[in-house]
Amino acid sequence: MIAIVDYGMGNVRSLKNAFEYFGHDVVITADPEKLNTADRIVLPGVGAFGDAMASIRQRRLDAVLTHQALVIKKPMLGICLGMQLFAKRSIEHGDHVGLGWIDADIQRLQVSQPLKIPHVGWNELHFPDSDWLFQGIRSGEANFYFVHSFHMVCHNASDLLATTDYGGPVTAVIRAGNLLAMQFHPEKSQDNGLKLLENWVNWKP
Amino acid sequence: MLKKRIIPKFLVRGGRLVKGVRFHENFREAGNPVSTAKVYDAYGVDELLFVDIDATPQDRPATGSIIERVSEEVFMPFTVGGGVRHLDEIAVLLRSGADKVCINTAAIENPAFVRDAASRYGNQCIVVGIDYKVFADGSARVFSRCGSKESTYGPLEWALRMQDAHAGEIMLCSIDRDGTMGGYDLDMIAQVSDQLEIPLIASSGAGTLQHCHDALSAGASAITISSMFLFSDHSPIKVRSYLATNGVNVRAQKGSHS
Amino acid sequence: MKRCTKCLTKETVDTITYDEFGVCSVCRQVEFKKEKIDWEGRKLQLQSIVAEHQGRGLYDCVVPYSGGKDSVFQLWYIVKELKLKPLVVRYNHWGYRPLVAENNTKVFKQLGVDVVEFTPNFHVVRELMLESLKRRGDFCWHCHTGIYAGVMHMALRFDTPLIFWGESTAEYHSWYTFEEMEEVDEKRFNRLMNQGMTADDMYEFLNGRVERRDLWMFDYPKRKDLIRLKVQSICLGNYIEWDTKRQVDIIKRELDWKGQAVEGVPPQYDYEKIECTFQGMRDYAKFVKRGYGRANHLLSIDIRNHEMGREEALALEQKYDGKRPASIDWFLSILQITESEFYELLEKHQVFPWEFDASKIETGEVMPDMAQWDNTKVDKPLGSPKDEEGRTEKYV
Repeated sequence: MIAIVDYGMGNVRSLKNAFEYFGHDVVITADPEKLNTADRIVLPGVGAFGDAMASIRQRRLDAVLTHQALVIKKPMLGICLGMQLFAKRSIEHGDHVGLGWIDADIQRLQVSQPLKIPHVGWNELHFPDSDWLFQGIRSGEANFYFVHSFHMVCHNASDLLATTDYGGPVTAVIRAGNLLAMQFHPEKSQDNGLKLLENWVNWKP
Repeated sequence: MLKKRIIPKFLVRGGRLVKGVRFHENFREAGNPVSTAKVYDAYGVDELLFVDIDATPQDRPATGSIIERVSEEVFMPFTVGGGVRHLDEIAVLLRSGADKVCINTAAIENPAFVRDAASRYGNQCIVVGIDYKVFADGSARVFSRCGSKESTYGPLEWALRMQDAHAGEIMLCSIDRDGTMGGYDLDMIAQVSDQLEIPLIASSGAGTLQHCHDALSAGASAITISSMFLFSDHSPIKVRSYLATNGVNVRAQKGSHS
Repeated sequence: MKRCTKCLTKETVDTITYDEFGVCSVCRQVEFKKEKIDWEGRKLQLQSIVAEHQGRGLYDCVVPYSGGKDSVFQLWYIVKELKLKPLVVRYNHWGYRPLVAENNTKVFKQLGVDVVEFTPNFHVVRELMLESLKRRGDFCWHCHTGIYAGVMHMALRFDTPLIFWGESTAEYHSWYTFEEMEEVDEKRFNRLMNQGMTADDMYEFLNGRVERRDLWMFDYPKRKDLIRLKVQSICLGNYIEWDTKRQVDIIKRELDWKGQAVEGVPPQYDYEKIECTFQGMRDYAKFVKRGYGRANHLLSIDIRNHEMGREEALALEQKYDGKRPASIDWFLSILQITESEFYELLEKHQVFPWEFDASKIETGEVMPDMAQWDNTKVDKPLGSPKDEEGRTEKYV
């Protein structure tokens, strides 16, 4: 059973459809019981960091999720804003505290013309091709759909698994043990994205 | 490198696809929205845009039902527009599977709405659509209500205001060129994209591969294409292979992978 | 107009791209096919597929069949080499040339197979031909969809999950590569077979001139039905190394299959597309839109197989490509349009940078069997009502 966290923000339907397309059982929930019994947890997210954290705290999900992530060490997947929430801190519209699972903070993308903000569209991933996560993804054909204005800056180089280029390297995938997160939207990245999701579901810690 | 995007634009009327010329003339049947989305997914297009063209005239919001059905089998970004004027309407569309919404008339009639929407849902969710006409003296004016109501703004001025209101992207649509397949408004694209810090999606006028090339070279981050896909023997795959062959940075294709 | 530096492929071909040496993606695919594929390994895969399906139902597999060189070889291979019992499924597109029936009689009698042929209503076919000519400059929609969807319907009706199609499209196009081993499924149907239009769309486009149920064979079957049957719809050409000339030799020798002259190609290609009366006009429409015809295609194949040099190929292309077919009047009378309407309908479908020049056109030879092509007139109007001057409605 895959649980997608429902905190009122994020494209949960597409994620559910993506996992169900391969025949996996999915539940969209904020119920600590269901999160506890799930085999894997997905933290989606679309919107602003501050609002997301407020929403999570209001539902008392921060403690529940942190317990699942850091104590139970359940496979966790963060997507887009969901990835950014793993960080310690974000300066998006203020100064906000994140879930703090990864030693990183969220900063605004810095680019100059003709590059625009938000970073919207398909961009190429640079990744270690022997890694289990990227099986079936070919270098040169590894485009994924990004849509964001802020990005994660990792303080621990070993957490950084894959990057993309946008005015310099931009964090695209991070991983620390059972924690995995993607800045792009795998559920919107057609065959490539579905492949990553499939690889993650098939991965046994 | 971020790739330029090719976005098929589908107009929905009464649950079916239609396409006209200059917003009001010569509407022709253009197919079934759900099966068309699946076809375009098989092509591997970058995004899809659906605009409910009767929503504003009928004073109701765009429905998410097409997106709901489509997003069960199609996993790519969707933008939905038409009649979006309240925050909870945006929530409904996003929950149905849309990734971005396009706000047009509501932005003109209530500019603060764009700021509120960006604040609630994130600016990357908010595309502001700007429709305009060019007059004989060369001046250009933004129109709302499906091209029927003239505003006092010029397109560049309005685009900059919407950028300030935290729009994520601007979609600039030339009413005069809509459906004519006679080429994009390259001067306007160059002028506006040069000034904007947010991405510009150029809409209206694609009729040949050369037009597509020119619009992207003029500075657009993305182009929409409608009549050229619906009424001629051009597919998104052809557009992409032409652009890739002719030096434009698009998702290159090897077989069915990109 | 860019062209491959090796073969003759022009940039107006749909999926074509060129690498840093100016060599086209199809040339590279064919190189890969000859040099990098483990055909022994693929043969083993084929054997295990065969073992899985042999003797399981009424038929071991479905073989879609037209009577052209590829489908005859496929059928021969499946019966003689794979020793399977196929159901031969044939879509009648109303355009088979007389020789094809003679060939088929020989083939079916000698190989000993059950054959099902399904024929769509000609009144419906005419409407579909005209509508797809208007919307895509290509009147063959009914045939592509009738074959690729219709055959799937037959597979479902006869409970036969294994379907053997012929060569991989990677032989001639870049919709897929050889590594992908494409399944002939709905995604492929949408990607390259139906010109972006489904039967649902066509029904709306035809505006009441056909019933929805008239289009069942052009509708791709429901995904859940195909999954339930565990359909495996594969290309034989992904498991054995496709070699057209060698295969033509085999079917000529083993089955006495005969070729014949074909419009718009050099006479040595008497094995290609021999089965269709509409082939000349189909290729001509493509020339009008994109500046290449079937000669260009066949010559490029020979270059890739090192059977012809580029100079000789260019000379033959110059001589044979792009001729106005002698069959044009016969064709136009079926669709009830004039020749100038035909060009007008194709105008907006031209692919940059090609520009058609009607003044440069010569007419090709009359095919020897053309007098025998059917001329039955259907006394019924076709298409949406013409305007006051009797002109066909255009969309653009």
